[in-house]
Amino acid sequence: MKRCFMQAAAATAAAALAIPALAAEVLPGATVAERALNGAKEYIEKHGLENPKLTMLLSSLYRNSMPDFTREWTELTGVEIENVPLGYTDIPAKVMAEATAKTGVYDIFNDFPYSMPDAVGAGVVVPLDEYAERGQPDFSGTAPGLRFQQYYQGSLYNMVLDGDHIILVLRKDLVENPAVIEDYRAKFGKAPGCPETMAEWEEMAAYFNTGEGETRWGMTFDKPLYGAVAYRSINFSYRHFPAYLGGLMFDADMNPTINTPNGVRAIKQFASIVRYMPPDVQGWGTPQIYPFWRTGNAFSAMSFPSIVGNANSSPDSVVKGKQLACTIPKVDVGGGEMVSRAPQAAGTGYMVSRYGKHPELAYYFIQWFTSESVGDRAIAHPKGFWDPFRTSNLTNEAITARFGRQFLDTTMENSKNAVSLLLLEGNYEYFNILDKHLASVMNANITAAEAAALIEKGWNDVTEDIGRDYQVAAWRSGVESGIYLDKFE
Amino acid sequence: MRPGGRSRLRRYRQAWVRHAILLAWTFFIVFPLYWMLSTSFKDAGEWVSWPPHWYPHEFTIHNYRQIFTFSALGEELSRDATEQAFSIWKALGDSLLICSVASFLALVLGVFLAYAISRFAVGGSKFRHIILTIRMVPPIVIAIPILMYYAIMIPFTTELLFGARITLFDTYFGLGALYVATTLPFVIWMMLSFIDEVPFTLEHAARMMGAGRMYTLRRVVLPLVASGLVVTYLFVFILNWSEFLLALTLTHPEVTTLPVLLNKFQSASEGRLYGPQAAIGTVITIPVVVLGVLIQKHLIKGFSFGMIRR
Amino acid sequence: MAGSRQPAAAGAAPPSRGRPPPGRRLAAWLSQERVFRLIPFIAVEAVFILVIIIPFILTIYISLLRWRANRPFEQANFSGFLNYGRVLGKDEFWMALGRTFYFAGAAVILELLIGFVLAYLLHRHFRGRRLYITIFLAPMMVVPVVVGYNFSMIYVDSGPLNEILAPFLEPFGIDPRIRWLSHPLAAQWAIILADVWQWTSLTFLIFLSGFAALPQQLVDAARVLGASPSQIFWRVHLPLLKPAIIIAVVIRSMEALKMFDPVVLLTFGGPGISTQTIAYYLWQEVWVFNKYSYGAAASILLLIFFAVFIFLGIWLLVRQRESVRRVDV
Repeated sequence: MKRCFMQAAAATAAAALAIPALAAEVLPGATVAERALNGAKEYIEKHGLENPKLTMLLSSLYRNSMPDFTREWTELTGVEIENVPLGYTDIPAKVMAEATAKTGVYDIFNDFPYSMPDAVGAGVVVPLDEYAERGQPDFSGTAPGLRFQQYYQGSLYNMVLDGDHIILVLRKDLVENPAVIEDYRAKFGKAPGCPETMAEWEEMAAYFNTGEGETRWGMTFDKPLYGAVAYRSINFSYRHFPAYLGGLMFDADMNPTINTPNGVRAIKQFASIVRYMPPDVQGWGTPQIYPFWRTGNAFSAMSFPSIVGNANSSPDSVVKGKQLACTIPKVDVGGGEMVSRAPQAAGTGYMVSRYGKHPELAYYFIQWFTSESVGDRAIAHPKGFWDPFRTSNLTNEAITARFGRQFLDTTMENSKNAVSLLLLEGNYEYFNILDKHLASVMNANITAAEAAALIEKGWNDVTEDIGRDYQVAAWRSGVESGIYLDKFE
Repeated sequence: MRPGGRSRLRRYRQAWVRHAILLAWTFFIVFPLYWMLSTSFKDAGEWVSWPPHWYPHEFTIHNYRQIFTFSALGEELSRDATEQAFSIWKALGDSLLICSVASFLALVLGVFLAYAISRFAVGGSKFRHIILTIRMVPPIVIAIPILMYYAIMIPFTTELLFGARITLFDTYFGLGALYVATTLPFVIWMMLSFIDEVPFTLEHAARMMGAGRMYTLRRVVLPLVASGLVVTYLFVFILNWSEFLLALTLTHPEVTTLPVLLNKFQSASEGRLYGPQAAIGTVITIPVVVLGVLIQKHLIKGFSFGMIRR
Repeated sequence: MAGSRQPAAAGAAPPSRGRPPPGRRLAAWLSQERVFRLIPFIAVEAVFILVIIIPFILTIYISLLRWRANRPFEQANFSGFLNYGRVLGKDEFWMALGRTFYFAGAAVILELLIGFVLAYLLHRHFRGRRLYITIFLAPMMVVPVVVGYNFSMIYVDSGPLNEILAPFLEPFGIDPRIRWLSHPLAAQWAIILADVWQWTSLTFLIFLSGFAALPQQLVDAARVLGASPSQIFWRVHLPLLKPAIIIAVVIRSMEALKMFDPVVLLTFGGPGISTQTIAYYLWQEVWVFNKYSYGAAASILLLIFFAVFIFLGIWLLVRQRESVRRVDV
């Protein structure tokens, strides 16, 4: 075991020494994709490879769209890529198992950026900086919260092609219904529309919440209309909570900020709107929420952006063309300071395995795939689940046709407030502690203040377990890079 | 009314109550299986609908075509919600190979030991019970160490000894060896109940005529417990066939068993693909249930576990 | 090794004539009494040691380290019994353990009762008996993952269970589309029910074997002596079936305490943590949170707790086995 480590260390050292030699020369090619292609060809030639093959651990979401691009890559370079699809819930464990087993069976891992810290800590993925130095990928046109989540501890590890920051969507037909406008104006003094604040969203949810058989606005509801639907279950709450917290989860020394008036406010607000959601929302994931929304059971939904496309394309949808996309409402983080934060809840990226045979070759594929020219086509792919995230997407006709102008404009606006989820080692445990206590608050087992104290304690335990100094360093470099938008005071 | 009449009436009533209970349980047992079968022939729109469809309104074999496909699905088979192709051939082959070989090895090892325990009380009089402790260890307890053992310790040792890294992680042998070890206790236990019943005098006679132990075992004992061998083998096969946790943690992508493949249908983002999943369920359930029916008589005998003497 | 208790025949080694081929000689050597009796024992023990015992020792070693998978193993430090203290101080560990006993207890009791009743109803011949037995044994053969899926299809809010219940609920103005897996108590019983569905077949089989092995003369004798059916049941059937009951209890308990598959397939431990069994809890700590050392320590502690039950079970088996021997000989 010692020996493996020594080998790994030696390899790392050798790679580190190799940087200056390589750094000097940028690959030929006018675009990111061309440079990647040339890099791959050069690599194959230099190493005299014949029919090289790479293996990618792929989220099964993309099993019908990714092969189109890997096939294209094979035609262009002769490098075959085998896709191994796996449910995204199982991927982190497989990556960690590979860290222990070091089989070298995978070359590329496709996963969320927030799986990166554990993978980096375990040493299973390589930093991509030296390759990027030659390949010169282009991250401009991407909002900072999305762009810098590709880095951990100052190095590039994960290249993201996806903009899955959460959004709010309302029922346009209701908001624009004259009878509704009149009644709403009488009550609130203005027409209904995208809510400015979370508190306003809750007000709207309360207003639009309608029981079965009720008659309002000249309509009779033969089934209930819930005021809101959003992710409130374990393994999902953590993806939404930063929108309510509206700030950093820790201070500069990794002390949780949850047990403060703002943290308690966030927990309360997160839990209180559940009143206007369907009773079982705490057990729901996407398979329940998407059909619930598209079959017209709720007035508003806070969700992954793909809910809009899903409701526009599903045959059983009754809300086609009746969706109004909104940016995430603001929260009052104290002293009247209003902040909007859209957590990057599920955007996926690509990492390179340390134990694969050709890390550099794997990198070139990633650079090629995440480039604007190829990535835009991926986002437009009818069977893909990639969401628009950068300015080049706005002008792409196929993307516009697929997602609709209003949605694209909103999501670009929203991406300015997009923040990364916690990029720290052990984050799945931090997330789970948060989720469990949020669930307790929603079930009224404990108060928000009690939950805040328990979460603080739980988080501190994880931090101590992993090593506070280590975590503080990683946390500070993450905050400095701007992935959470907020900085230390 | 004559006494006989009353007792007949009572018998009728008893029979009626008995059938009522049995039919109720039959319904409870059959219903989930029926629902699986019926869902496997339903099209995507019918998997979940309200009110549910008790039988496929539009009968389709699409789900089966999806799982038995050899290659990527053409445009014709692709559809929005269910466009994935889940070919089961690889998993089916892997499962069959691992389960049949591992069960066979466990049976061979187990039969010999059961014989030795029965005839010589090898390992002490309580050994036959102590061996069950192995079965009681929850598999999750040994899953990580096995991962390390297979992926680090064994390669390290083989490199030291033979100069080549041989890993057992994600291999047929690795998973198979675990299956042999975890099912051995059941083999030994079940075979003991059969071997204990073989009259000692028969063997004694054979031995007196100069037959060796192996010969006696092969020609005298084993033929007498043939049905026991079959039932034990099949029972152990079913145990391995069903095993999920160890396969989930110690294999993929090189080796994939059916339960692991089935688990892939579950994903928070894709939703559950009830149709293909029901089709796979049907395909892997029917052969085993049929086998079970065929060995039913022996099964009842095998499960006396030698605790109840005739 | 304990010597043979039974009057084994004197090991008559085959007389060697001339020089038999090596294969023969090996076979002859193997057939020797002293060798033959130990070979299977050694082989099986070797399998156990190589596949189970070494990893188990490795578990103990890992449990004494301070290692999470998100750090290289090579950097893991020795931490003594730190992990054990942490496990014991963790409410969730105890809650998962308690819940496991609750699930296993409820499921096993139901399985025993139902299995017994069914076996009793089917222990005598009548028309249709074979068909019933065939159906009742089927669930045992179904892969547990498939069982999990089948039940998830049935429990789904637009599923057949709610459709069956709808006529009873709708008159009271209750929406029949109940989401069984979203309510803590309902989800717990949904899992127990799935377990009962599958494993009642095993207890049924064991009891059926028990009834089949009952000495019929005894029952007939009791009947001739004028015992009522209930007397026969309580005084003859039940005592004679004690061994079968013990076997069923031991086998089912030890499998039910490992309950994992239905939890993963039906609820993922939710809603909240209300259906986390200990196996699921460990799986999550290890494979989701990467806490390898913590998981190893929890595993060892779990084994220690289970050991009490394991030895109780084995003691019961040994004791009743010996009582059978006494009757038998």
